[in-house]
Amino acid sequence: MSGVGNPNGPGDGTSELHKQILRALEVVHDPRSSNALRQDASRYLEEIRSNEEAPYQGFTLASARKQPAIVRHYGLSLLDYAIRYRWTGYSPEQAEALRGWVVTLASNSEKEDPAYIMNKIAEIWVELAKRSWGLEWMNMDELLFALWSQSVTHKILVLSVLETLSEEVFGNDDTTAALRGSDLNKACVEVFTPADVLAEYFPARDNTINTRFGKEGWLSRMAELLGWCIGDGHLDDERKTCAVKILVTFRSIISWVVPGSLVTTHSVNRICACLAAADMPIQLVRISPRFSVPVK
Amino acid sequence: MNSDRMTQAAVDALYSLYNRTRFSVDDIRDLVCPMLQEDTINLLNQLYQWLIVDPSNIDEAKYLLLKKFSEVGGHTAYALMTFLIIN
Repeated sequence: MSGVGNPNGPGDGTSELHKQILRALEVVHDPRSSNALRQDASRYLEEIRSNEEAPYQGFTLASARKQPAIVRHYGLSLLDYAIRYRWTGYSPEQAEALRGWVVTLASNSEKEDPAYIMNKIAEIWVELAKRSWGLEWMNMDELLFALWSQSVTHKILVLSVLETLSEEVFGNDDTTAALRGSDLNKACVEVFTPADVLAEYFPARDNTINTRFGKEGWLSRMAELLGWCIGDGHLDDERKTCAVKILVTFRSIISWVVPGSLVTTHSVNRICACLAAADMPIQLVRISPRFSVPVK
Repeated sequence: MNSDRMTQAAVDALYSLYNRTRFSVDDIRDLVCPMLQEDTINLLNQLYQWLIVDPSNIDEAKYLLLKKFSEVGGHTAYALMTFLIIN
């Protein structure tokens, strides 16, 4: 199991297997390939997913910025397959190596990365979370916070993770999340809610498993970022994209978060402030002091 | 698409909030009553005026947003009624 056993991987990423995968992807995407050849290559790419080295190959392919995005996406799909279908066969060290690769890929995201690559990374992150967050993966919240602190691009990636996590944990139709339903449910409430609200609402809660990082929680961070996006009235594309992403994440989490936390974090005020800040053709909207948000 | 995507996303979020069924009396006081403040009512009224569609030439996106917005109003009113009856 050298493919996941060694956190540094078995080589420099240019192994024979790596080259074969690249050749097969080329054949599949080359319009001049014959049908028979393309089918062979497709079969090869499907079979390789169960190879022991597939997750590491997936990581190196996904990290290869010189390759077309489609190759990087295939690399991510190898990691995705390993986590979804081979997870129970991995040792704690192998699971740790897989998490390390996904965190590295998330951290190395760039503004220019296509949305489908970013979404796939968020999706894989959530697959990991459903299986190990709160069990052996105790610092996930801290890692998310570290990503959040990197750039607006990383903030959007974190929001995708939070939104997907919320959808799958509270959406009732995901069997993997359902297996650990109550643990994941508690962990989500824990990391989203400000610590003081949590203490007020659940004074008798069990503090032994600590999944959160920082006292403020994700609701406060989201509300504050939303304030920054619409704060000074000059809504450029980046701020608008970010604001929409926060609102979409709010839509998902607002149906289950502790109601009191929406008040203390000024979340509802800021959502309403977005109505005032939006690009409506009526400039009559008077932005009252209640909706103007100070920029920190 | 004439409707601004930020307006759309904000209305979706409010819809999701006021569509919740298990509000306590305190929650209604803290989350629903502030919607009745003058500033908020003015703002929602502006949005409503903007969302009115021409029935002979319906702007589909705007109409769907208006529909959702009216449901937000409905859910908020229902929560308020509960609040007033209890008090």
